[in-house]
Amino acid sequence: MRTTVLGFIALIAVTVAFVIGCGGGVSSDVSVAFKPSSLEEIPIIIPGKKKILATGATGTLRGRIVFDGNRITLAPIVTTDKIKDTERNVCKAASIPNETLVVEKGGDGIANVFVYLAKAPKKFKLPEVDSAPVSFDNKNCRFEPHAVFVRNGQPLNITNSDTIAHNTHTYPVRNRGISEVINFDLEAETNLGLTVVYNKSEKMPFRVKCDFHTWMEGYQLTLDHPFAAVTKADGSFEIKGLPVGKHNLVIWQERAGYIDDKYPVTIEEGDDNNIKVEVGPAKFAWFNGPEPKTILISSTTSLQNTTSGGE
Amino acid sequence: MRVRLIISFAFAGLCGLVGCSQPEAEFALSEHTKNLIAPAKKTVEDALAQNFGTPNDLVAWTRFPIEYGGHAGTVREAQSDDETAVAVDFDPPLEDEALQSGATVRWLSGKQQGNTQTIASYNPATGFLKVSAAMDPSPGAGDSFVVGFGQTLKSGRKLYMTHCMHCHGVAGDGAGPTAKYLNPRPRDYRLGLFKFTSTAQPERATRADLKRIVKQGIPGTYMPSFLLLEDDELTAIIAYVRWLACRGETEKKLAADLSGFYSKEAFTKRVESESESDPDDARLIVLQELFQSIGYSGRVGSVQGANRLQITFDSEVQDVIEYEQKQLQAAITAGETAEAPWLADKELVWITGQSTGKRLPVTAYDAVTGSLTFATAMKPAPTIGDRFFIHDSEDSFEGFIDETTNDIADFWTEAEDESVLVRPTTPRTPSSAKSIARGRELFLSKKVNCVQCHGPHGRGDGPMTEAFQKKPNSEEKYPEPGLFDIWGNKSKPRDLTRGLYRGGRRPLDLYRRVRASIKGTGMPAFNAQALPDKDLWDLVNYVMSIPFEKQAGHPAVHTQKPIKGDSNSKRESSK
Repeated sequence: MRTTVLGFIALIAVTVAFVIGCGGGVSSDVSVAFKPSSLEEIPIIIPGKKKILATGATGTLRGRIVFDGNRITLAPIVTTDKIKDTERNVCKAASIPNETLVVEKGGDGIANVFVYLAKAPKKFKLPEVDSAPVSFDNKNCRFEPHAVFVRNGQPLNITNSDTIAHNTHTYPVRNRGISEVINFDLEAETNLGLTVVYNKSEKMPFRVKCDFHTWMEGYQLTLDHPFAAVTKADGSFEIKGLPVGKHNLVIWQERAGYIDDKYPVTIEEGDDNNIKVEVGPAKFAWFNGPEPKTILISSTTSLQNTTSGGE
Repeated sequence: MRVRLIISFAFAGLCGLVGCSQPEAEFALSEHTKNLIAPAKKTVEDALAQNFGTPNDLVAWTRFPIEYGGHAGTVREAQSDDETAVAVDFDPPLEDEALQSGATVRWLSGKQQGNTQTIASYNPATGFLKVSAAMDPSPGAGDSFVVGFGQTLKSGRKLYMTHCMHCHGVAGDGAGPTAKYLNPRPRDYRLGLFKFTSTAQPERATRADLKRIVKQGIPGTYMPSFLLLEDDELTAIIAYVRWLACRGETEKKLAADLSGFYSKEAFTKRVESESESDPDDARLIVLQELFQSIGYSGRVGSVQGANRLQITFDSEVQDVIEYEQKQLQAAITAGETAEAPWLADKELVWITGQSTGKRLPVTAYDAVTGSLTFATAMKPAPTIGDRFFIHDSEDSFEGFIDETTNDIADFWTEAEDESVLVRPTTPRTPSSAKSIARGRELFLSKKVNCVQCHGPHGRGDGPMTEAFQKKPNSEEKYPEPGLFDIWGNKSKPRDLTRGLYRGGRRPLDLYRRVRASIKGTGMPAFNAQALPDKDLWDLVNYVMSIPFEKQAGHPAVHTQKPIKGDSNSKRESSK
């Protein structure tokens, strides 16, 4: 009996020891240091510095991104028979193409490749922001265009041409993402859009999804300068008004990631600046997780193997 | 018997001993940061240490809109005869007992800016504040100061470590010791996102939102209610949670920005892809970019003095230098104001030799003689052949931290703005059979499409729960089907037949979940155009009626015909 009581006390002692002992730094002394809000409060003056902002001579860069290898045609992600009954009339009789790599029909151009300058050229006065909106539509249960560039401050009109609800969910790093249903008005048959203005420069294009339709995927890029383009169906692009001199281009494609992060170009005055970038199929190889394991249970041999392995 | 007893006491003693050696609390780094190469990781670590400190030595950066605590005031009148006294006004006015002698006064503006004094006495009737040592120069009228800065953050930190840390972790990463046993997982604050807010879709949570969650808990999860805490304790906890969120988001953004190129895999890949035969050269090229260098590297030709070097640039950059010189010459010829001499606003970073890793601000460079001058003497002196690169201080990482933290501060400030508060413009339609039937029609409609996730019966078993999703910003798919939130946890669409709503069960709460989304999850926002207020209230009425439906589920779903109000009222009356 006495032992039980003592044992009980011991148990309590253990518990107390744990409770007291495991405060995890709760009781330690904490100091709070003051840090002023910004550099304005501790002014740093750099004397004799004045920037030259020149419009200067400019040139237009044209180019093509081409696929160097045997043509690849990807199977559609969703075929008509897989689409729900209620949506078949909307999500089109046609199946949903796999747009992770789009090679030109009867050619070698790669569409939807982003070509851009990572940073605005220095000491160069950028042209005014184009106030004409860029369109980004939900059409036939895919994004149209699939890949889009919009400059900071330029309106991006997200619309819905389908008669079902779509949700445009963006995943930017620097900007604030949206996740808004883009709807339509059935009675008035009007397209109720949403206008988004980004104001931070991103490092690379970010994904856009629709939470209602898993296969829907698009890419957007926003930068604080206008020197960016997305390749057309034939793989061609054009960047106007680049200041004369050396630049490094970023070439990015959704499946390949960075095709090049500093592709050097030298721009001369005028229109005669052409490049051609060839990309091999290896760049588009895709990690889809480890290979699935196959366990043969119909074969006697492998069953025996499994059993012996277990022991 | 006795042996057992001795053993159990020994065990108790051991536990006591082991338990009492408190491990030093520390902020764990995020997975992204851990995966960076050493110099990039150090950049993130340094930035965090400088701007946020450690769990025991917090740095309160006033850039963030966080109530760190303390009493702010301004000088009403300087006292010409007494260098230790000033007449002050506190804003908001102080209560009599709030200020004790020994508290610290910190000057935020004026001639004493940055200095601190200790209070000797304070008279609340006259506003006469006396400090323990003479102030020279004495502060002038209008100078601002704060007394007892950081009190709230400090007590928030203590309360957090007592009540929250076990689940939410020291760094607010949702990975406390208990976290791995919980489902749903505790919130990871480091994205700055909280699910249930009263603000518009892209906005952060308000202080009131966070306080409500702490006070009421989240039904259906492990988040308990902390109603027993005093209001000022809740305020302090919220301040600390917001501070942790700011810290975590700063880390996340810095690491995300760097990991594109400086994750271990990316770095190895890059170094391998450089065509240089010398691995040092390849490393140099890649490292220069970490410092966002302007791309000029070189070697020491000869040492001409304590602050003067003769250098040669690596050949591949020679033409770039010539080009820049030409541009500058052209500007001068054209009569434009020339900027400071070329390279004068740059920094030199040593990459080999005794000073490896040190930086030196450049004052002048003569392209003709190749002579580089520095503001300060070089210690230790470089030797011939030491390699360096020029780093554009104007474009350094510092600027990036400034910009990132400014953004984060803006997000939190904006969340408190009244204009982003989600408020219905029309009052709730009283719940009636008719309204419920309309709501149900909307629930099943293609226009609103709740069915896609919540299922035709509202059980949270819609077709999306069967689909495989891709991870955000990766081509990899999740290993199991269903919806995932931005934290990478599986998130089930709410089973609406249970009548358990995590974000609160007031009709307004449901209104806000639909209007402003559940942040970080697949639940999107329906703006006023997509779903006008009247429709939304009908939908809310329907959703709130689901748990009380007599028959679980509904008649045939695929019917597009509107359900008559009668049939529904009959169902209700038969209850």
